[in-house]
Amino acid sequence: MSPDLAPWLLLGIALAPWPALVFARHAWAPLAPALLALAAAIALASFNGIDPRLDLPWLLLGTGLRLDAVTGALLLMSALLWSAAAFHHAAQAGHDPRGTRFRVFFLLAMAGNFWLLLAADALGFFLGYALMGLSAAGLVAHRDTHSTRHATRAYLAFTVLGETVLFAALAVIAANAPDLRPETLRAHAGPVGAALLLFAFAIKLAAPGLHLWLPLAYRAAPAPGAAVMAGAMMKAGVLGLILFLPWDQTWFAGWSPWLMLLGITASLYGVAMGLMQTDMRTVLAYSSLSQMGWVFLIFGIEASLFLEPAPGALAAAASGTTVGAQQSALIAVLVGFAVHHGLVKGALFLVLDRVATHRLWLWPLGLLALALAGAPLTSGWWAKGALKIAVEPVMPGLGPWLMAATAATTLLMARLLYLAFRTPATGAAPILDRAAIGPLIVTAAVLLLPLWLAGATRPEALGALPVLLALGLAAIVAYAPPGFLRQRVRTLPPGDLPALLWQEWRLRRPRLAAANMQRPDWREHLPSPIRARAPRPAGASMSHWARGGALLLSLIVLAALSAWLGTGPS
Amino acid sequence: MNTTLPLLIVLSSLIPGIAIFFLREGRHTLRTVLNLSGAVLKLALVGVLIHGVFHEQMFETRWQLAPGLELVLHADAMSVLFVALSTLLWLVTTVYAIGYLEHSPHRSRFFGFFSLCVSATVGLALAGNLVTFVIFYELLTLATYPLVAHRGTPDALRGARVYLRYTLAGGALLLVGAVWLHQLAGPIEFVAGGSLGGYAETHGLALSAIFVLLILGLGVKAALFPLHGWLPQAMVAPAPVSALLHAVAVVKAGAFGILRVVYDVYGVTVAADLGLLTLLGVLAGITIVYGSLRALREDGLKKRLAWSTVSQVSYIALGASIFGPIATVGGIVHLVHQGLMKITLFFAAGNYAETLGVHKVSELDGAGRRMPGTSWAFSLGALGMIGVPPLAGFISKWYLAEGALAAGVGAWVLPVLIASSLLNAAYFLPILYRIWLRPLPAAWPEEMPRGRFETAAALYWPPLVTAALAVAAGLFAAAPWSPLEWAELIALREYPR
Repeated sequence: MSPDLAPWLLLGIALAPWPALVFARHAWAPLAPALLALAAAIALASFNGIDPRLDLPWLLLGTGLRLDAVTGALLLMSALLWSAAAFHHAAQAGHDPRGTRFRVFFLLAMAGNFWLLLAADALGFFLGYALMGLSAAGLVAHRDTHSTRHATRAYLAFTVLGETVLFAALAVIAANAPDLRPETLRAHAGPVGAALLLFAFAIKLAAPGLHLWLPLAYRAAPAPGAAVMAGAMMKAGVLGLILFLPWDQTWFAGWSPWLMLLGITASLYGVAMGLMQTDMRTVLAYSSLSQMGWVFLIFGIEASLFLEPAPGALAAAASGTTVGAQQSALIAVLVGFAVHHGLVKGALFLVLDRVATHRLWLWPLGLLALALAGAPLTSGWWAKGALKIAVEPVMPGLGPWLMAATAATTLLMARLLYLAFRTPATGAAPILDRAAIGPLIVTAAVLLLPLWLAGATRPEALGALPVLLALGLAAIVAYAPPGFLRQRVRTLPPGDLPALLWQEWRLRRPRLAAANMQRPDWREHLPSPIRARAPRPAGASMSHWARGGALLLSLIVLAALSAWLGTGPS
Repeated sequence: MNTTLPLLIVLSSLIPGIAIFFLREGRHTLRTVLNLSGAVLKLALVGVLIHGVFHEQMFETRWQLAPGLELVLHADAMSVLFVALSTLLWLVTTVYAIGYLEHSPHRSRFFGFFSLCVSATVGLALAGNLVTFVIFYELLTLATYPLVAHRGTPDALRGARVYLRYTLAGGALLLVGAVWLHQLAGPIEFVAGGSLGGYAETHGLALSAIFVLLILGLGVKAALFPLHGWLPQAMVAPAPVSALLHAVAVVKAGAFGILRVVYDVYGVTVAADLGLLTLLGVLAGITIVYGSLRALREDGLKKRLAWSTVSQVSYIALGASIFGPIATVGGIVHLVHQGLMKITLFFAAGNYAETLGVHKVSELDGAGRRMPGTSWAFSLGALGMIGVPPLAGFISKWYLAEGALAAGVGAWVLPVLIASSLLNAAYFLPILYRIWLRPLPAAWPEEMPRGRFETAAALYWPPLVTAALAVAAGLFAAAPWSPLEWAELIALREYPR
């Protein structure tokens, strides 16, 4: 295929979901545009070294489409996930009376996702971002129960707030800038614009405090919806930060400690809260929360390269590169991490959907959990290894921290597997049917991902130690006498502290309390063996928060321990 | 110089309107032919006008009433924008009204006043001086009263009485202001850049007082806080009248008058020097937030939309109150954008009421499955109001925000815009949630039998057409001949280079 076609391929990807809306009655309708985008993304990737552009001067205030290395990688990942999710939906949607509606929202969100990936300027990005964010509410609301209604309300409230603040951020930054291209906006951003921007994307990335919607939404959405939300859509927040946050500006250095603090807090907080959850999808949501901490951390490191006395400049001089080159390398690492996390998380949601049908599905689930944790030779190992290599010359203290965070993630994944193991399998479906294809394809992609990531790192960068340590601890807990854990760690509702505050607030308002009594609570949706152990409504109060704090503390101790061990070998 | 075209444009709806008064109730076909041919003819004439004004031709009709008192119809870029909007939307609304009032009594009276109302609107859009503007402004009040009262129920009569009380008082203030200004500076022609520059030094206080009078007079129709009380009451009128009030004629006439006073009577520089823009801006800002807060609490669909108009029309005044061409573009273009979106919303609300008997937000569950076309139109209108790209409302908001930041008033305008967007989302998204995501009820309050479409064809197409226009106005904002391009042309002529 000729590279001259590249700009038209961009337009094809961006517009493909729209005609499919006409055929939304058919279960397979969303698959066609997703596959088309996947094929086009592969073709575009094969035109090595060409960054195609297509100007659309009459659209909006004058916009365009473009693709570069960063968006190219994210597009491949997203298109693959959308395809697998569309396939998964079609394979099992036969009897869903609300299927058409699901596909309409699914296609609209897909259109928004593709558009924001390809957009050449801020308004184009915002167009796709808003379309995607609002349409995804239809995926969250799909099942129309009390709990999905609550989830949709929370999701929409946060999403609308995030999009409005993003509008303000872009307006503030654009007011000083001659045009709306991302590079220009980064160069002209001031502290106010950057702060608004960070807030807006922190909602999408569910930074602690702004995360209430995340566990609710991931649990409410049907599996294909949750897979694309966790895999493809959340990465829009990462892309937004890459495009518009002024990480390549010298003045931004002062933000470095705060970003790193935010990142580390998110990592620990996500794991601590996740460990106290009883629902597998909620555990996955908290794992996303904790993994997105890495994103903030990486931006903190980016900014720190400009700090005085400049460790970046010193290291750059030592290794014969420039700060700019180091920054690009870090962005490449970030993109690799985003692709890895997107694929693994998407695959986890799809596989999780099958776990109840056959015990054999525990194996791919285990593999994916190990990949997310960063066990040797998996994509997580390579992604985190690349980060360690990129960071070590700049900030040697971070290597051990990486080990610690890896151990924490492993614990959370052990919790997921424990819950999956306890879920009774109905055995209703054969192990291999059409519905198995989607999950298996993404799992295969996860297993092949190291081939792509391997170019960036050395295998010895990240040992097996943290994963083994955490698995050992998990095994001890799992084989401890019955009741050992139950008496010490209680569960929290999805949404942890904000959700508890919300509950308390409602109980204190007598008018609402009456309505609250009739409302079925979240425990009803748990599988029965877990429900039996879940705390009663009266018990789900702030007192659990103290236990959460204790868990957080012990995690910090574990982190310190494995960090200390980590300094030894390396 | 063309002296007949402006007059012809006014007459193209006036003559069919007067003829319709004399038609017997049963002459359905003839009335429809008169209505539609008038609307189509006017659209064609406006097309010629647009072409001419773009190429800087002069269109002016003058008629001397008394020495020093002239009736002037004059087409400049700003009047063309408003004329084009009301003519286009009048055509659509006429089709809708024919479908809506199919079986109700007093149709000749209704369509007669309907045409008079549009003639008055076009007249005030084309008014070339303040006197002409005031005359048509009062005519508009009188022509709309029978439309609001049309149903004749006690509610309708009360709403119409409130409407009349407010607008006549506003008209009186406007008249006093206009006469005072005439006394001070002689006949006031509308000129780009204003004509009062020479008086600012010597008569600053008088000019400020007159400005307040004029803005209060116009603010009644534009529903500026605290003069907005009539608008939510007037929603008792039939849906096509609401569409007309909110999107085409009345509210828009007030907002258009504010633009005229700021830009073409005082001149934006004079108004800014006298500190009058700040006053207008504060009033607009309060109205924007207050209207949205009230909309939040309404369960009646049309009432919620009415409060939303209170809030949204003040964007136009807000744009006028910020000194700088970018904000001016935002304000002027919102005149068109708000019209397209709000008329869509009222058409859709009318369809729900007429087809399903649904008047309340809480009864809309599942309406999207029963009436997908209407519901798509409603959703697009609502999302546009929130400011979601690529819809028209986003373009307005972007220009207002950029203009405010460029003028150095972003610190208070941006929070107002954010609050307004959030509140808009808070009262529109629950409606969309009900329409699309809640299950169908067992039965609708009062369902019309199904025909070929989800409702009568004359009700089905108008909201879809206006919704498509609202999408196109935003999506192709940078294309030639878009409302945005035209607003930029106007703003370019208003600011001294």
